[in-house]
Amino acid sequence: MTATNAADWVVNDSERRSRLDLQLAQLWRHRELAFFFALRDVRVRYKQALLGGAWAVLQPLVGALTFTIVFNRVANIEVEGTSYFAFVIVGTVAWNYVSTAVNNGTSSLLYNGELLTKVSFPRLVLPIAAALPGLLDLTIGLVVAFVASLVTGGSLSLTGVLVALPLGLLLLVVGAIGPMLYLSAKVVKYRDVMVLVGFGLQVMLFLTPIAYPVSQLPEAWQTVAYINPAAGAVGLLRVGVIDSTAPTIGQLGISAGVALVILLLSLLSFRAHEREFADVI
Amino acid sequence: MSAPVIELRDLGKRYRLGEHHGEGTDLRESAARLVARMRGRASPVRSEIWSLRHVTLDVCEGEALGLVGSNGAGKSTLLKIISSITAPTEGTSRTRGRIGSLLEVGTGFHRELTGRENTFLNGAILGMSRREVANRLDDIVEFAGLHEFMDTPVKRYSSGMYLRLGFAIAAHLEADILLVDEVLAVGDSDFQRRCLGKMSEIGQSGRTVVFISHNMESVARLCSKAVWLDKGQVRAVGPTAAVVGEYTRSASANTAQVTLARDHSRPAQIVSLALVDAEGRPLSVLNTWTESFIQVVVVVGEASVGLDVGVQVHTSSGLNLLDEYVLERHSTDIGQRGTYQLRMSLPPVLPPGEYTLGAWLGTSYEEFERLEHAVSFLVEGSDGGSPDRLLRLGLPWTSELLEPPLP
Repeated sequence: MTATNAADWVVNDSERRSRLDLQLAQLWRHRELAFFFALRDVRVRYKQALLGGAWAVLQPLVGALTFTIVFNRVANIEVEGTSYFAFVIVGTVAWNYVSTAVNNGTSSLLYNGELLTKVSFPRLVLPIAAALPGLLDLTIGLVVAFVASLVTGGSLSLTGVLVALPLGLLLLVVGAIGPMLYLSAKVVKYRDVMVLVGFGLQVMLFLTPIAYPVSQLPEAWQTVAYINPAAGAVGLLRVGVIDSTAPTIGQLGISAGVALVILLLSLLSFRAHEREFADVI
Repeated sequence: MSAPVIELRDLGKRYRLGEHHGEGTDLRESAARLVARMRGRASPVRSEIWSLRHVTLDVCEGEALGLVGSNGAGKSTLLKIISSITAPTEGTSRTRGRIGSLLEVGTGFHRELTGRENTFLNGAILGMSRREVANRLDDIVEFAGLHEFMDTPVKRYSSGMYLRLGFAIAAHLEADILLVDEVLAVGDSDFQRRCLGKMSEIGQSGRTVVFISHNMESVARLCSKAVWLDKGQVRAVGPTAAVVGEYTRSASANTAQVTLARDHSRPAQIVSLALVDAEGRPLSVLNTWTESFIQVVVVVGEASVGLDVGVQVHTSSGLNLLDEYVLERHSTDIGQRGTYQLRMSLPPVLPPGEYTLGAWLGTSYEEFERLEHAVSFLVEGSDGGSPDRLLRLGLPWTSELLEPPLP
């Protein structure tokens, strides 16, 4: 066994830890655990599934087709430079990621309640792990969108792929993890938060520019729309995948700022409550 | 003595009953409480229990500590605080080194995943890195005896296989401090024995072990030091034999004997029947390795020739195991007037289980008293791998080499 010195004492007492100590190093040490939880969820999903990975391709195609019929053919919404179909695939897969991550993340502590009362590990690992499996579907979906865009005569920009795409992914993930952390801790105590999350995601689906471009909104609302971090993320992803017009730096700043503030506040709230999880759940 | 690796100081844990358990975990009730508070009314009184209180204890490096106590004494809560699963309400717990807590076997197994996949997942949950699990995989599979089944989803496992894999993973955890809660009470007896072996191996390897068990024999075998928790407080700390002895004696305080009022109209009478230890203290829990005594106190008011006393032990299923009489051994004449205390030695031959004790008083012609199943008692310990036998006699053997090995 490795020698330990006095500094290695782990203290468990009734005092609340400093609220600003986010213990991110501890989280990093448990990254493998997050990976194993994510792997579990991916494997379980594909066990005994007939079509397996094909769903990751079919799902966005069918979703995008529905949107195309409703918004493009019936409501006559058009986008510049590329086909509506490719445009809406990006939106659909991005939103699918957010909604799956927030849903699974919110219920992650509850779903693994047994572990909370029997084993000690950083609780933060569970909601964060819940945000990982969706990245697989997101990646496949974005590839589908990219192909659809090229087939329907869209173009490709190198800076878009190298800069806007990774930034868009980052903003999307950060934007989803923030609220999910806050909600997962709340669900431990109040089960009905799960229902609210369902409502909330439904409303956000239409408030986020998934099926329509922001340019279709009244001028005054175009900037307001970016208070929603998903709006900025989808905007960036579209630049990367289908080379559409980029949001302004100001608009992106609003999205990113809001996402970071929510993430920080949620982390603090999570840290303040995590010591009670085993007793409350 | 080596340095302490677990330091508990005035530890207390309070649970509120009714607030977070069962009903009360929805917004409506919280809102109701809030409204009550705003109107200046006290929120409804909740009952509280202290699951632990004023617990101060040091566990030193390399020590194997047994935690004994009845259900609800706070043993599990103590382990949960040591492993930081839950925070204490008051006091401090400090630990040094990597903690492996085995509060339950196979926690976090997923039904759909194979044995191998679950091994990596469970290892990660318990704090092992992927590489550590990979290095020990062969040992784990070997110990669990599940070679052919590692690629089968655990939902197809029998409960025994499930537990074996769970224990095997945990037993190969490289922890400085191992917290174990009653896991040995699972699996078939052969596997239980191997688990015990593994546990004492871990104890001897210089690691610190804190072990909860209701099985006093395992505690005695594995632990040099024991703590008796009673209603959340430390009742005794010290060498295992002393603490376990004190605990088993007190556990009996409730029932272990019957005392009957003297009825002067009767010529002879049993006034007390009890199961006692060598010092005459009543017991209700025996163990499978120490001797105890059946004690009968008889008052003879009128001399009667050929007065005899018998005692019977029945299993919980009603089978008569013992029926012994004083006169069978021609030991003493109890026919004269007086008060007699009779003791029959009961060697540790009863396997673990529940038993009842009865007594009889009379002569060949007349029955004065019959107490059937008057006292019940428990025998704790290991069944030694044979759950069905009625008695464990440990009869003498001889051995002799008949044929030397061929050259």
